[in-house]
Amino acid sequence: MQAIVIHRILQIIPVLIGISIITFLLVSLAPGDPAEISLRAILDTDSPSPESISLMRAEMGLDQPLHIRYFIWLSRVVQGDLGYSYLTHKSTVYEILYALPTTFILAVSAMAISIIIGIPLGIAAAIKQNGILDHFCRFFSIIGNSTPEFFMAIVLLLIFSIELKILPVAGSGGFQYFILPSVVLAIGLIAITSRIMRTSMLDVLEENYILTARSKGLDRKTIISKHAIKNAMLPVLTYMGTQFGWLFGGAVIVESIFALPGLGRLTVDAVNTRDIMILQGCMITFAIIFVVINLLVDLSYIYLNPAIKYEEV
Amino acid sequence: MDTSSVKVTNSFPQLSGICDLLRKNLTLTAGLIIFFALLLITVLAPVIAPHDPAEQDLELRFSPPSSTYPLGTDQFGRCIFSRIVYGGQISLAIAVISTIACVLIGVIVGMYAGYYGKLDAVLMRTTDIFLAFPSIVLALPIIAIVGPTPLGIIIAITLPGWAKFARVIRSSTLSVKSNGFVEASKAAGASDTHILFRHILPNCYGPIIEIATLGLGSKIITITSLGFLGLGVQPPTPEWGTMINQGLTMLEKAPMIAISAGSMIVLFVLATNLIGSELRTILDPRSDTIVI
Repeated sequence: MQAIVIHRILQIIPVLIGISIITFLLVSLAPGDPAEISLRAILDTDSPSPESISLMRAEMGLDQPLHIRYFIWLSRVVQGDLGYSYLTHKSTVYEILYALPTTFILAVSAMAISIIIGIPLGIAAAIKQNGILDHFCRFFSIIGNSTPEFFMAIVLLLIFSIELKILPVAGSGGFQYFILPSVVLAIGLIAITSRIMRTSMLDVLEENYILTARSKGLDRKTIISKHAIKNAMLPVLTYMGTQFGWLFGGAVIVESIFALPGLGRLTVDAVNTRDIMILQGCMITFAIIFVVINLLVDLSYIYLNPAIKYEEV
Repeated sequence: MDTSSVKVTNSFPQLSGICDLLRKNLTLTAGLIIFFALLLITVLAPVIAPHDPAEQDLELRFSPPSSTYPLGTDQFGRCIFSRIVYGGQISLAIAVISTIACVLIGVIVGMYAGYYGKLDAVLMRTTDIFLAFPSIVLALPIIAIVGPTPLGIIIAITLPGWAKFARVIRSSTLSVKSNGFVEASKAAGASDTHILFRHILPNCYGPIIEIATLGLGSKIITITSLGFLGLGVQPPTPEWGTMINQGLTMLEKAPMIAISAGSMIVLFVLATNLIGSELRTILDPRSDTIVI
C-alpha cells in the first residue's frame, strides 16, 4: 500500500511540471511586458522610463531564449514570487490570498447544500425505484445538468431578488450574499450526487449481506438505515471529492454574476484588463487546487479500500 | 441462405433496428426530435425569422410581444425572436467544429496510446495536465491571446477539450484490442493500420458518438459562458450567451431577452444530454444514465 501511495504522489510531479509549462507559455504569448508591470509596482508609477524597463528586462532575464526564461520564471514561482498586478500594483500572491476565502466559502457551502439535499434524494429514489420520486429525481437531474450556471443564476435572481425582493442582487458583505451563488453552484451538483447515490444504493441493496440481513428477519427500515446507506455513501463521498475541483471552475461564472470578489472573478477581471501576472497566478492556483484535491481523493480511496489494485485507481 | 443472419452485429444497433429502437426508447426519440428541431430552426433562420436580426427600430424599444414581434424588442428595438433564431448559428457552428477537432485529436492520441502502448504513460499524463484546469480557466487566457474571434473560441475550446476524448478512445481501444478477432487478424498477417482502422476504430464508434453528443452540449455551455462573460462572440452578432450578458443588465425591464436565449441553451443541452445518456445505456446496459 505504501508503494501505491508513493507512486500516486510521484505521479503528480509530471502533471505539475506540465501545468507550469502551459501557464508559462500562455502568459508569455499574452500581450504585456512583465518587466514594465513589475516596475510599475516597485516604483509605484504608471509610466516607468524606457531605460529602466530595458534594465529590468535584462534583470528578469526577458532577453533570454524561451526555454531559459522558463527556468528563470519557474525558480521565481517556486519561491512564491508570482509578480505584480498591472492595475493595483499589489503582489499576485496577495491578490490571490485575498480572493481565495470567498471562493472557498462558496465551494464549501455549495458542497454542503448538495450533500444535504442530494444524498437523501438519491436514497429516497433508490428505495422506491421507478416511483414518483425516482422519476422526479431523474427529471431534476437531467434539467439541472442541462442548465448552465449563468442561466440558473438569472432565473433565481429574477425570482428571489427582483420579484420577491428577499435576497440581494449582487455584491459582498454578508451571509445573505452567498445564498444565491451557492445554491446556483449546488443545483448542478445535486443533480449528479442524487443520481450517484441512487445507483450506489441500488447496487448495495443487491449485495449478499443485505440478503443475509433480510433472511435474518430484519425489517426493511433497519436494513436500509443500518446497513445499506452507510455502505452506499462511500463511492458518493469519493466522487464528491473530485467534484470539488469542478466547483472552483463553476465559481468563475457564478462569482462574475454575483460580483463576489473571489478567485473566479479575479480571473475574469484579469483577462478583461490583460493583467497577465494575476492571470497566471489564478491559473496555477486553480490547477494546483484541482491536482491536490484529486490526490487526496485517490489517497483516501486507497486508504479505505486496501485491497484495490493500482490499475483501478 | 438468408443474408441478414450473417450480418455482423456489433454493440451499436444496425440501421434496420433503429426505427424499432426509437419506438421503444421515447427518451432518445425526444432528445433527437428537440436536437433536430433546433438544428432546423438554426439552419433555416433566414426563412423563419420575421425580421433582420440587426434591424433597429429605436421608436420600438422594449416593446412587449406582439404579432409582428413575437417576443418583443430589445434596447435597440431589434426583434428578440429573430435574434434568438439567428443566435444559434455561430454557437452551433463553433461547437460542431471544435467537437470534430476534439474527436480527431482524441482518435489519434487515444488509439496510438491504447494500441501501441509505447507513449501511453506520457500521453496519459499529458491528458492529466489538460484535465487539471477547469475548461473555462484554460479557455480564458487563450481568448486573451488570440482574441474573441470565432477561430479564437474554437482554439480556446478544443485545446482543453481533446483530453477527455483521448481518454475515452484509449480505453475503448484497450478493450477492443484484447478481443479474439484482433488477435486472429494479426495472426492472419494484417497490418497495424488495417487493424486500427478496420477493426478497432469501427468498434469505438459507439463511445465516440456518445461522448461527442455529450461534448456538443458541454461545448455549447462553454461557448455561451464565454459569450456571457463578454469574452465570446462579440456583439452585434446575435449569440445566445452574449444576448444573456446584455439581457442581465436589463433583467427588470426586459427579462424576455435573457430568458428566451437561456431557454434555447437549456433545450439544446437537454437534447444532447438525453441522446448521450440513452446511447450510454444502450451501449452499456449496466451503467446508470448519469450525465457527467
